[in-house]
Amino acid sequence: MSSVGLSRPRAGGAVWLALHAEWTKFRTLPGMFWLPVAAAVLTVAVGAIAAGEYHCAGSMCTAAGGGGDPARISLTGIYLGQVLVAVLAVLVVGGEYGNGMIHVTLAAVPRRQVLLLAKAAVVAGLTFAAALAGVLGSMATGRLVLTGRGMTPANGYLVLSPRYDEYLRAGLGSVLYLVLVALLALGITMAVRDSGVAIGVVLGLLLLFPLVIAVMPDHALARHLEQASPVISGLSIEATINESSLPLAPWQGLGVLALWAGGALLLGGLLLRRRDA
Amino acid sequence: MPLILDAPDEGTALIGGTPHTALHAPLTHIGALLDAGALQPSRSARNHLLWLAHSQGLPARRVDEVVEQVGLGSAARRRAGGYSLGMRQRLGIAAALLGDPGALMLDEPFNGLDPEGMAWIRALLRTLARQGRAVLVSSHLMAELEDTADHLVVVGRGRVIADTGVADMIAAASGDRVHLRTASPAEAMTALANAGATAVFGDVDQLTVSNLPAERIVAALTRAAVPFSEVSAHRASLEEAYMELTRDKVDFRAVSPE
Amino acid sequence: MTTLASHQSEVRTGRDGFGRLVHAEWTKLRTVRGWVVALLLIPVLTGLGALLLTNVSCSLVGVDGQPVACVAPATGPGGEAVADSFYLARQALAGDGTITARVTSLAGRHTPVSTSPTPVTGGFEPGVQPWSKAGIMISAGTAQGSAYAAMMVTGGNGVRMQWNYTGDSAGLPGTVSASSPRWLRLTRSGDTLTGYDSSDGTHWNTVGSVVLSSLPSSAQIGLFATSPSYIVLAPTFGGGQSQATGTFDRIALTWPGATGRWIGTGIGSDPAGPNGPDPFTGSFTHANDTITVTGSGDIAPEVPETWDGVGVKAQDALTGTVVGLIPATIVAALFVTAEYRRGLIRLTFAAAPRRGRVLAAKAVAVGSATFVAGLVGAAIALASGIRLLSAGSPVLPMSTFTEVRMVVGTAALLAVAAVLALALGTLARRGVTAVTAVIAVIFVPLLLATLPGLLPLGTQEWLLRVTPGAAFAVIQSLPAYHQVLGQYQPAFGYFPLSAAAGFAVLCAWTAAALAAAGYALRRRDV
Repeated sequence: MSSVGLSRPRAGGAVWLALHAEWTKFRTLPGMFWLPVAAAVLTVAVGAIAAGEYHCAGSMCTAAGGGGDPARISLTGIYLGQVLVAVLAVLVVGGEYGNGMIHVTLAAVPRRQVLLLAKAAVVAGLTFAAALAGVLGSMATGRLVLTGRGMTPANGYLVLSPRYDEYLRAGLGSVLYLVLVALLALGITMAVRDSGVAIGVVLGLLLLFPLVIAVMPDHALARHLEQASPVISGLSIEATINESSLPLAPWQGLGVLALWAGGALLLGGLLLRRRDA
Repeated sequence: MPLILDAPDEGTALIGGTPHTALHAPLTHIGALLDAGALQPSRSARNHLLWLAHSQGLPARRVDEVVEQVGLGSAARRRAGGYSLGMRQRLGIAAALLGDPGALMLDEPFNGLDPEGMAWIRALLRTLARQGRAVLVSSHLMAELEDTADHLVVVGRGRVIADTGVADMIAAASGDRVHLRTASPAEAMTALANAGATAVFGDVDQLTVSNLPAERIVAALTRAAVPFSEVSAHRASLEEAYMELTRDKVDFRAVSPE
Repeated sequence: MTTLASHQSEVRTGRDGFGRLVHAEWTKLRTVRGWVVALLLIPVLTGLGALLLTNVSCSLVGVDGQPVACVAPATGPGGEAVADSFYLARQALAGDGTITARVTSLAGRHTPVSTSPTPVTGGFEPGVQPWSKAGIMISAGTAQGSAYAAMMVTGGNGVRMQWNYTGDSAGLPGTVSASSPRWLRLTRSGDTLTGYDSSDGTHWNTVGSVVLSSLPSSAQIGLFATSPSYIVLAPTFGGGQSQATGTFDRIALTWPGATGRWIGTGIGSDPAGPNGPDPFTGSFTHANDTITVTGSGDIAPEVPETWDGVGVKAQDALTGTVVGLIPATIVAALFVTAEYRRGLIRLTFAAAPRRGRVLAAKAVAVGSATFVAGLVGAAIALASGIRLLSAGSPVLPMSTFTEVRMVVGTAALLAVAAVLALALGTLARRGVTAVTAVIAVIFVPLLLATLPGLLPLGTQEWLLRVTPGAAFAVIQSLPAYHQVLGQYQPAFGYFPLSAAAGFAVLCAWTAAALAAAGYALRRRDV
């Protein structure tokens, strides 16, 4: 061995090395760090605005009498947060296809499923952290604001707190929801290989169902579309009152989103293996 | 810069006395090869040139002419994303030639071309210049420029370092030095010193002589009966001239391996 | 320096100016296959929305709770669908004349709130509706949809003059009672009908004057009463039917053939309704110069978003517009960002140094392409959608002008939104940023504004006044009538701004974004 030979690679499996590389790529790209931060901050901000906008009068303030759902109102910001989370996931993959760096990456990590796994882990980890901060902040803000707007035990509401199973499920479920949205975006970007197109497809898929359902005159068909919609089904995890009116039960609904995300990852992974970079 | 793609800190750039922005069909005045990769990969070369022609009010026939001129031929109908670097280079040159302009600005036109392509572009540049066009080529390939260029502007760190003819620049860098190959360098040095020249050792059997023309060197050596096998006037390459000129003036310099 | 005036170009350039820039940009647009596919998707997706309508059906619930086939609502003189059912005590009188009457009371009752489509036959509760009506009328006939003008007192909207179902003009405010009666007067002079009201029978105010061109010489002159259905939104959506009784005295007719004999006629009584039949019937009594008329229903435009509203709106056929908007805006954004991605923009600006004109040419190219694509899509969607809808449910008719406005408006909406996306793309330069901006500016507010119950109604309507989605008002086929209380919500296709104003909001966004993009292009290096 020559004296200038490389030091031996540190111990660890291929996945771990790929993961470390992906994390280094992420944190050394200027501007990327702000996406998860913005996702958390905007989720809380929009939730606070929605909670501040909540008004009710008389019998409409009770949980049984048509009053709002404290968890849903507090977590309104998820609608915006998911856009940023999707952008984050798209950029982690699409950015490399945009500038050709994917060739370097694949030269360094030739096993493509390992690469997919590493990217998914980095995106999921970041999203989880951002989502946890956003959801905790939103629910804390919601508790502060909504208690002053009639969401009290007197009106049949439980105080927003993780002590109650419904709220714990809504909060944890929302974090999982955002992670699944990120993975869905990651899979789609792997499949289409262009950031601009990918974000269009992802957000189209997320927002199109609700937009069409909202104006759909055929209610039976609308119900089926609600069940298939990643957003409407997925966000049923947030419901803490009137659960019987949901298109699917909360965990089933999140399952629909998980199927979409799994399908997208599978498609992206298969295409990644099959075709040239 | 003359195309105002980047705003100048001060001053103006005129093309034939007119600012670029005031030209009606700018590509008929000045054609430019900026970056051969600057194209939409899914568009064919012919369509790439077609939109450019439309923007200048040129007929589609002109596109076919330049496609033939640069030798893209039948490949012009394939998507440009699949082109080799050399083909992209030809496409970029076709775009510059499209408007049949009086002035051409070509940035690194030799990039990615095979030897045949190199010869082709050298001939093309000379032909264009002979037709009375101003051909501005920016390149780091000194050997190519040495054969093709007439006039040279050297820019380093944003400043003009030299603005001169290629021949003048080479002559200046060559100095009046003469290479001498001899089996008896010590005797030769003495003889030349007596004749008023300065000589320094080069390789084992070589001397570099200055301050004395070649004929008088030959005469002095003959007079002193010093054997020699070769006397040649030193002609610097453009690269040497450039290195000479830009020492301490370039932005980046690789650390020489020890 | 070398002089180089010697070369003379042999290439002749064609027409000068902006047109060739547009031509160049159009060539760019049509020579990238992905963009052509996306442009073709616009009419396909816009048109496909109509296919979602095959399952739309309409069935009414009869007296026995069994389904009854839907009947299309009558149409008024203006061609619009109308709800025309009331009770009328009338005389047929020819020529000019004046009817005057004093209303001393307006009372009413209604069914209890129902939340399901089942017949309700009892448990009535007292009270009038805001638009319970009783008054005097001059009408062309007794068929539903006849031309008319009427002066009336209402349950909550004071004295009104109304005519031909959509016309409405306010008179004296306040509710009517024995201590505070209202005098109503209606004068026919040829085809001109003028309404007056008074609180004392001496001092008269003109409320309105209308020309009814289709009024026959012998018109129906009478006293009427009616009361519309109602809806409640909380705790759950529900509603019911109502009935009103008006008491009239001091009745005076100036027609030569006028008598004291009145004929009672129930007009348009519903045997069935979408949420069950109207259990109330009409009648009138006449004693000691006092006439009471009792009726149920409404004399107003048909609004599907009421408890007894029938039919669907043609705008449902344009459901696909929002889907078609996605490829339209994404193509427009990528049309410019793709040039930045590869540095092609430098060549573009070398070829056309005046950057503002390049942006304008791009806008014209992508705007025209999306306009044509949208026009085709919207025309197909509306024509086929109305046909598909009609198979299952009556489609409320609208004027040709409205149809044209919907189709051209949809195309213009797609085109201007695409130009907005182009401007955002120019500002963003990166495809992913541009598409995200497009979605954040256009689609997210639209989603927040149209998803029922996601945000309070006031916030949703506010969003549709200030965000680009306001332009979706161009596809609204029926106006929201203030004289009919319905669910006029974005989720049901009612927008807070008019078509023109909503479209202007989108145009303002686009103009601002274009100005910012033009400024940025001039300021920055490529």
